Amino acid sequence: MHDDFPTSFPSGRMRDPGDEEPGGVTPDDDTPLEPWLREIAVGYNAPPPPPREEMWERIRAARSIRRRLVPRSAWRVAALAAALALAVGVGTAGWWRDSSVDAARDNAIVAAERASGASVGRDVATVASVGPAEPTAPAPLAVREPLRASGDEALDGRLARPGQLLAAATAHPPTPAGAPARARRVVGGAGGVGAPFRLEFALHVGQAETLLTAFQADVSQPAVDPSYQPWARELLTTTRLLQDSPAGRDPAMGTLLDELEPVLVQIAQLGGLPPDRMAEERQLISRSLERADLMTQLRAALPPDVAEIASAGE
Amino acid sequence: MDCTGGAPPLTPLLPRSHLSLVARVLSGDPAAERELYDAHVDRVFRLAYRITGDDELARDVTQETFIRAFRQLDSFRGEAALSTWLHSITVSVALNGVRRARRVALRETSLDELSAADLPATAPRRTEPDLRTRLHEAIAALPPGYRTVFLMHDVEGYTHQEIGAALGVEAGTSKAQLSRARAKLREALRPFRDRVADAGMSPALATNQRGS
Repeated sequence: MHDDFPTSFPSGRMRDPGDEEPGGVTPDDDTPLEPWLREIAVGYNAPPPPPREEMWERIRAARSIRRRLVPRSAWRVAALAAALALAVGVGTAGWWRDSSVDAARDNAIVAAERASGASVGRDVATVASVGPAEPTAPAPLAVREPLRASGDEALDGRLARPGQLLAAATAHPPTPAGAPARARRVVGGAGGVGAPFRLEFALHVGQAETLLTAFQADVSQPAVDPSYQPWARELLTTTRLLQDSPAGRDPAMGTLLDELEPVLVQIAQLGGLPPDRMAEERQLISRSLERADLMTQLRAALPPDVAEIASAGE
Repeated sequence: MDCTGGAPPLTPLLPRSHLSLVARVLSGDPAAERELYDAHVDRVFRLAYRITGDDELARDVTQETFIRAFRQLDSFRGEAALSTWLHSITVSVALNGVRRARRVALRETSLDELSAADLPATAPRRTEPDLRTRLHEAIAALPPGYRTVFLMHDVEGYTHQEIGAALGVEAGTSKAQLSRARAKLREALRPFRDRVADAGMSPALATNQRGS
């Protein structure tokens, strides 16, 4: 098996990294790994056969959860956009009487159609994460133009780019009614994370907190409740989806999701452990929860205006 | 069970067929999704396992790779092989997974120290590592970038072009990193080699003796 050793090391020893030619050029820069070394290296993290069916089932489950999550978000974005546009329309009614009211109605319809017609996660996210809008000169009929993504603007999909929707909805001057200002606070808070994602994050944090509270309460019980594992696995999937969403890119939300993920992994994996290891593992999870103060962080993570977001998004 | 006997062939799909497969997946054909998964899952899992060294983590990485791939498939332009695109996602997800796992391990360190303090003083000492152990430790100690290139090239048989595409670097950078990785491994094995040379044994023989 190792008969090739003498040819690999004609000098009877391995090369020193210090064996440099004049000028600092190492002579063995492109020297292949010695065959016997490669043979040993192949044993490093040698993979077992892949559990194809098990992984496929999980992928399918995660994708079906995502399909349920995304249309819900899209619907919330649509409702939010329609509410914003209508609010702007009502607020500006005194300024533009007949024509502006019609334009606002059109605007609301187009915004709602545009948002609900594009149930693609990333695109929904960009629409949701709108930034502060700048008032522009009154142009009631022009507000529909920015919504038509065309040319380079349509490269990433079928939607307007970030900020376009709200910019279009608030193209009229601000009104004394203050409706646009209120709307901007709801949508543009939390570092630009859209309301649907903030709401989803808040709901998720609430569910995770429920699981972890129940888990900790049961930690002294002799047997672990078997319902915790599928529950943790489901929450884990949502955690990862949120990590990939604008919520995951938000420093505060992302950090909390990163903290939550390994704990959920540990709980989800409890089922495969022997009883003695399981008790030990449960104690470890409980202690790490206490040390990281994760429960407090979860409880503190519910944004104060969650009810407001919920009422706006539903 | 171990399947180190050789990696499955690279890029089993021809460009035209994989583009049509992508189109079928994008049109929502579930059979096409499964076909794409079946064509690539072995290599994706192998790569994930090589990088993470953990069965559960490798499964998670594989799943996450395909979930992301299906979600972002409309951004696949067909300029690179589908396998290369998938492997670039795999490497990214795997390295992130390893970083996260390390953070968790660091958090657990104090607990481990507590447990270690409870061990009896007569706990058996670790034996002198043999060449296999030393090499594996040396690979694990490589910087993540070097280790990934080394594992992909010298262990899994990827070309520098494929590695460059997967890691988003030039093929030349991949070559340079591989060269440095090998140099570091040789350096790490030098004490072992010197001892073996003094004893007049071949490293291969020493490995067999010490490993048995």
